Amino acid sequence: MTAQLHHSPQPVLDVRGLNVFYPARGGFDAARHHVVQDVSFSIPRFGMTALLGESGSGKSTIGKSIIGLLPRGAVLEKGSIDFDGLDMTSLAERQMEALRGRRIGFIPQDPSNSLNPVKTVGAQLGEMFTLHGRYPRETVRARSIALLERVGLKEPARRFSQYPHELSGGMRQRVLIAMAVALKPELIIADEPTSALDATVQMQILDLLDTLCQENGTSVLLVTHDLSVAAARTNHTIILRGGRVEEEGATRDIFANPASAYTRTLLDSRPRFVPATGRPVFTGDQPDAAVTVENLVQEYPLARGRTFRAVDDISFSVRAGTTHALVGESGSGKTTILRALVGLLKPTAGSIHVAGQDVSTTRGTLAFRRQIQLVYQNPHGSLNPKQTVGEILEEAIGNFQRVDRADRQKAVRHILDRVGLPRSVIERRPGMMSGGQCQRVALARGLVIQPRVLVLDEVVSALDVCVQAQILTLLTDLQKELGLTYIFVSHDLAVVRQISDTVTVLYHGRQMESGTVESVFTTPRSDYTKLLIAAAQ
Amino acid sequence: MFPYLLRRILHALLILLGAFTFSFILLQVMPGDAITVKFQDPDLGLTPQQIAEIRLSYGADGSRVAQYFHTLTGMLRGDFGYSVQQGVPVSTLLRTTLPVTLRLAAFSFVVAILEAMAIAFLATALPFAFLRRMLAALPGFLGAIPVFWFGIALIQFLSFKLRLVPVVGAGPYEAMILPTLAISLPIGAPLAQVLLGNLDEIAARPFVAVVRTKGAGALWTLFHHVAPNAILPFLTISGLVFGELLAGAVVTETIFGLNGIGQLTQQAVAGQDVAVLQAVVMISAAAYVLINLTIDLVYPLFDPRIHLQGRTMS
Repeated sequence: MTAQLHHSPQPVLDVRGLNVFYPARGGFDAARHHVVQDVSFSIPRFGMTALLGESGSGKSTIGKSIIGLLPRGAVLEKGSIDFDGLDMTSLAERQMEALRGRRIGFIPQDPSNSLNPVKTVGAQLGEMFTLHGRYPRETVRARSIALLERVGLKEPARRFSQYPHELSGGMRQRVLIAMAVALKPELIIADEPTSALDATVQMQILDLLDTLCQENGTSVLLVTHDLSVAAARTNHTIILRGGRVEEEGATRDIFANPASAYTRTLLDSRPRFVPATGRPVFTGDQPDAAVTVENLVQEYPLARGRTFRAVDDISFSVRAGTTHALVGESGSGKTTILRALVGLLKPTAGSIHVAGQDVSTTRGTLAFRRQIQLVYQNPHGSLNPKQTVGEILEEAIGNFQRVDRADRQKAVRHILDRVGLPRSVIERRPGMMSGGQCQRVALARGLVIQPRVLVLDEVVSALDVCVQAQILTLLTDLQKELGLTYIFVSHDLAVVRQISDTVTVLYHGRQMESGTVESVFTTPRSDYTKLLIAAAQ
Repeated sequence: MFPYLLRRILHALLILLGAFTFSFILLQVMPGDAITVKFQDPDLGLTPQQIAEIRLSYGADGSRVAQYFHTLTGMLRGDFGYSVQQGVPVSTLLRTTLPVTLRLAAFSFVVAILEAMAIAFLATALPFAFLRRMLAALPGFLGAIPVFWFGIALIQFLSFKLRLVPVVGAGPYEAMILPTLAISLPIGAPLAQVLLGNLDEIAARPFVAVVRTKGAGALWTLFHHVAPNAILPFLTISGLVFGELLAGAVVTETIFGLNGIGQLTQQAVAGQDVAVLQAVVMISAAAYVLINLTIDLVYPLFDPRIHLQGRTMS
């Protein structure tokens, strides 16, 4: 994207020997937990630099160290951060405040909770100016509205007086970008600025950031875990692993010729938007369908007797032992369909059959729930933090049948082997396990009662690419061994293409198209599907 | 907006009817009644027949259902019946005692809120960590102090020792100083705890970090961004606490010799003066309902996400 490498001799920011740690509980001098160790890198002037790493790599901590806002408890032990001849680690708080916003901007990760809910967009954007100078009210208003227009918001004057909850996620992120660029800073630290957004919105936001920064001559440090974003958008890349710099260099070189083995693993684990290898090809309507959805309509009641139609006339059928993907962005009705599938909602119209049972008559019965189990996106949120893994799994068995303790424990051990967890986790609680391990437990909980259909709601999107690849492999293996049928919900088309046989594309509750993965992805019929595919490549 | 208001008022009236019915049943279930307590004294030498006549004159005869409707319709007309103990209409008693208690409650409420805010904001914004920790521990300590003990201590120290405030022969407002202090501390302490907790919780929200990245200082962030959010749950709690103020009045008024609702209640309980108790219950319930209704109605002024159609937008 960024045209050329303007390697001016002076980098905009130079980090040398940075160390950040959290003091371990029980005293300062006890074992220190270093999250950033001896990190050195520089950010070239102009263009985008990627600070790339998985969770726990220290990338966010480094971003926050630069702007001098480490989370409570974190200690910057040593190192220097040179910004235009100033060592920022030695600046007083007041000097840092003068720098922040004016010379170094920041774009946060999750737009949904990065704006003050009780203040208008205008008040929060205007604050940018009033914090760094004295301006008449009218000037602040005029400049804020101009900025809102510049970041691509329609009706900027109306947006100015709206509250954050009245805007969509993408619009909020535009507001946050407007704030960051308001005073034309020299450097912007963008901390995963698009990971909470839909793929098509993600592209627009990155384009916008790119254009604005080129206009203003701003350099961007893009903190991200997304290899594709780094490859497509940046000209310089720093790869982090476990708080250390793994390698640094021109993005093109790193992606073409990774020097470290770790970078190579990362690149190989990245799901690519290519046809899956080794999956048997199924054609559509097979007779032995495990799940059939016919003309499903799902409405939610609103105030004053009105209703909101979240799902409008959806039909698909899933052959036993295959994977059907539901693809769509937020608000497309994916979650509603899932809730209807597992019997949490009663369909307004249409029918759903799971393993031969009609959902509207059998939902809520044990016999029905035995057939279909749901696994959620966030493994830490869907497991009771007070229970041990053993308790979680035994409870799932006990919900469906009375089995004596020894048999339950046998089933637990058996399922743990199946999902590739050591038996030692039985005594552990979710808080003591990694995201990947927790997701394995969540899968085990779904599988322990031997259902025929597993509904997987974005089960890999919260995981790092390497872990993601492992879980996807596990899912494929389990399907083969147990003949499971999956309903796989995801916004990631590359992942969908790897794991699914058939797919339904949803947009605003309507079915755009449905068919085998390869036919939909190679010859999309709807414009929306084409747009999604363009965003995935 | 208007149907909502109407619905809320209807709701409030239902609560009051519930409070009336419930307290009526409870008061009826109590063994004995005021007339027995006052007139069955052997020294008076009244015959059972005479007592029955007295009962008739107080409207205390007839079935309980008839009494229920008799009392209820009386209340709707503003007639609270007669105090058997003191032989005057309950409304006469209320006219002298209610202003005292309302004044005390209003002062204590305001002072409690000020105390809570002072403690919470200082405990958040003071420069030294040990000072902040000390202040943060204060509400727990203050909340544990019994009102009666603290009231007596205040009289001893401020009035008798330092002679700052007179206890005897004080004017209507002077007389409020010590009781207000005494009752506002235990009321303010939980409020401070709630507010402090909210401030901490809001300060950890991502948007606060974003405000700091814009170059805002700690104090600006606290007062312009954290506080407006933290004040919301505080509002709700302060409404609930107001009820405690009325309940707390019994002890405070007894200690400070104030002739308010609290004293009236205490005497009425001792004498099983049902009409008075019923009136006190209704006044407390009305005050409680009214203040919570007010808080619900002003809530949208503080939180734009709440709309008065009775649903929230997300």
